[in-house]
Order: sequence, then structure tokens, then C-alpha cells
Amino acid sequence: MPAIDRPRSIGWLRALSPLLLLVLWEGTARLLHSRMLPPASAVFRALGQEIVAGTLPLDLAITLGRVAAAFVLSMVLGSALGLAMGRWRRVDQFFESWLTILLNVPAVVLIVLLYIWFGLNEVAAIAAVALNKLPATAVTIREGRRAVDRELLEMAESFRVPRGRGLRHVVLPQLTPYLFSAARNGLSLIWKIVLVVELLGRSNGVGFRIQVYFQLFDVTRLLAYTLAFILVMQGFEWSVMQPLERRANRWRR
Amino acid sequence: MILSLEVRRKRFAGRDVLGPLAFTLDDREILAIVGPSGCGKSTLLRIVGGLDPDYEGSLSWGAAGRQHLGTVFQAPRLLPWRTVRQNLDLVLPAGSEPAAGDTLLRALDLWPARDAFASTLSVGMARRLAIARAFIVEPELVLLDEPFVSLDEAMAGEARQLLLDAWQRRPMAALLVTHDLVEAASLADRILLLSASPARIIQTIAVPAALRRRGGDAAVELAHSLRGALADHFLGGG
Repeated sequence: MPAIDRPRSIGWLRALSPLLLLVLWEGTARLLHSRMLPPASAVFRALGQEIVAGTLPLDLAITLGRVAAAFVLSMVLGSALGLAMGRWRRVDQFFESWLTILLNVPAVVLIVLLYIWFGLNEVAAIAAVALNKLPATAVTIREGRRAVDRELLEMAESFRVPRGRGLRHVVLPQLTPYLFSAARNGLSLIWKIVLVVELLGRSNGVGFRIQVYFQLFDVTRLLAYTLAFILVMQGFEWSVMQPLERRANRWRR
Repeated sequence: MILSLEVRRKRFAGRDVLGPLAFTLDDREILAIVGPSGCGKSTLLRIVGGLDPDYEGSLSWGAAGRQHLGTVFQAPRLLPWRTVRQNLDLVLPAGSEPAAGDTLLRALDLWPARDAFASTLSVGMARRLAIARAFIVEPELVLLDEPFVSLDEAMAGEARQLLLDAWQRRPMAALLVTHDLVEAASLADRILLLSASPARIIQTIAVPAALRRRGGDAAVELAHSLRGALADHFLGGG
């Protein structure tokens, strides 16, 4: 196995570049000495304080809960829709225009509309996020389903492999690259939209805090919350996504 | 009789590719279908296998109805992301014994590789696994689409022998598509010679009982006389 695939050998360049970014940030901030750009050290200190105070972990947990709910919802529904659209031409023709509309409605419009229609509640918030992500997932998975090897499908058909078994062993393994792509794009998109949803109509979560610190002009805490989120998402990528992907790709020579 | 097929016409991309032709297949009979490449032999198998319902004609099954089918395709068509054993499990009917494939894997020399991903198999092993997969479903009818193509002569001979062994352990009907007359003569009970596309039956040859599945010189000699018949057809009849 090439060294790059090994989880622990991150490589010196990859470790160095974020360090360099931190140094640049710290240096620039100290030079400017402005409230608008606090140095990295101050942000990390604020991060520590917020963690100890317990507010940040709570808000982070609430936001992550919303991200998870919207993510699961959009992945499950979007994948099911994409599979059906890739499989059956009629389903594709029927939902094509729906997808086009959803893809082109600005995220903020969808959020505001759902809040107006269903009230400023959790269901509307999560639905708004999921609906924003769903069409992109459906489009990706549809492409994947269209690219499934026809010869293998025929093989399964000729042996009368039961539908569920065929989906699990023949179709899904061919969709894994598409699923991972949809999941990655999904996570990065979803957490950004969740913050907007929180900012517009929730009284807790990271997005709500950011709104508060925006009004207080507290850039240090604003950055501390952002940083916490970036770290958590990167941790998720390393601890969940990459191992899953390696597992799914074991068979490749 | 296990099945009877009549194709009046089969069109593909605006041109006739098959027929008219008709044949029947008896229980436990091995019928070889021989013809020039591209004459529609594979299409014929796809029709019998139910993969291509878009033709004019009829396919009827014997008293027992549509039979358990096992198919060996031209390419092995394995799941590279599943192990050798999982590739067999895929086609096993629900409620089969978990160890159903073990004997077959041993007989086909795949036992040491049973937990290897199919993506790591050699060409010969992949072929053997494709053959094992067709036989593990205990078919009443196997469809073989040039199953030994792309194997070298020694391996092809071995694979043919494996096929015969499997057949002798548990005789079943078989449709064997091939362009190799010697292969047809050494395996089949009956041989259909097909014309170039759109394929029709030029001649049906029953292999004399005394020569059946004897292999060796007898098959080569029979193949030789068939080649003569074919040459007459293409040169004489046009």
C-alpha cells in the first residue's frame, strides 16, 4: 500500500501548512493591533473559556444535532430519489422539473418561506436545511445509478437475485464513490445552512451565538465558535469518513 | 422437452439480427450452437434467459415450467468488491445451506482463494468462479456463452473437463454457444449450425451416441466433417 493511504502518515507539508496559516494570522493581528482581527492566541483562549463555561459545548451539540438530522434526512431521501430517477426514466422525467426548481431557489428564500409557513420551530428549521441539500444529493446519486454496470445487473437478473440482495451487493457498492461525494459536499453545505437557519430563527446553537457576537462586535468569540466547528467537522472527516471510505475501497487492487 | 423456442424475427437497431429459426431442447441434452461471430448467438441465449423479451416469436417451457437457470456469460461478470464465496452466496436461493458452495469451490480449485476479493483473481480463476456460480444454483438448464473464450488451450481443456464432470455428477440441459467446432463436437449431443446474421439454422447434427463426450480424435474428426458442411454452405449456397 502506498504511504499516502496510511492514516498516520499525514506528511510534513500537510502538517506545516495550517501551522504557517496560524503564524501568519498571529503576526498580522499583532501588527494591526485591531479589535476587528484578534490574534490566534486570543481566539484559542476564548475558545478555552467558552468550553469551560459550558456554553460552547452546549451550542455546538445543539447545532451538531441539527446538522445530523438534516444530513440523514437529505441523504436518505435524496439517495432514494436519485436511485429511482436513475433507474426509471419516467420517475426521472417527472421529478426533473422539481429538482430544477429546488436547485435554483436560494437557500435563504427556502428558509424564510418554511419559517413563515410552519412557524419558527425545529421541524421547519431542519426541513429547510434538508430541502436545500436534497436536490444535489439526488442528482449525484442519479448519475451514479446511471453509471451502474449493466452487465452485472443482467447477471443478477438472470440468476433471479432478490431485489434487496441485488441492491446491497450489486448496486450499492458501485454507488459508494457517489455516496461519499454526496456526503462530503452535503456536510460542508449543511453546516453552513444550519448556521443561517439558526441565525434567522432559533435562540440557540452556533448560528445564534454568532448573531449575538456579531451584534456585540465580539470578533474573538465569533472566531472561537467558527474554529470549534471547523475542528469538529475535520475530526469527523478523519475519524468517520476516511475510515469508512478505506473500508469501502478495500477490494480495489 | 425442457423448452421450445421459435424466433420469427428479431430486430436490433433497425436491422434483422436473428431468425426465422426454431429449436427444442430436451431434458439433460447439451445443445451446441455454432456460428460465425456476430451472427446473433448471444442474442439467442439472452432471449432464452429472459433478458431480451423484445422479439417476434415464442418461448415455451416444458411441463415443469421455467426452469432454474444458471448462466455463464462471455465475460465472467463477477462482483469484484465481494469475495469468491460471497459471489456464490449472491445467487443462492434463500434457505440454502451456508456451506453449499464448499464442494464446488474445492472441485474447481478455488478453495484457497475462497475469502479473496474477486478483483484479485486471475483470468482462469475468474472463469472457474463464473462456472461455479452457474452450477451452484442446481440448474435444470445452463446457458453457456462462449464460456472458455480468452482461456489458453490448456486451461480451456481443463475447464471443459470441469464442465463435463459437473454435468456427469448431475446431468442437466445446456445451451452452449461457441464458435469452436471441436468444442461443440466434444461436448454436445446435438449441434446447430447457424448462418451469418440474421442467423438461421443451416443444419442440425446429432452427434452419434458412440462419439458423444469422448473428446480427443473423435471430436476433431467430427468437427472436421462439420467444417466441410459449413464450407459447402457458405461457398455453394452463398
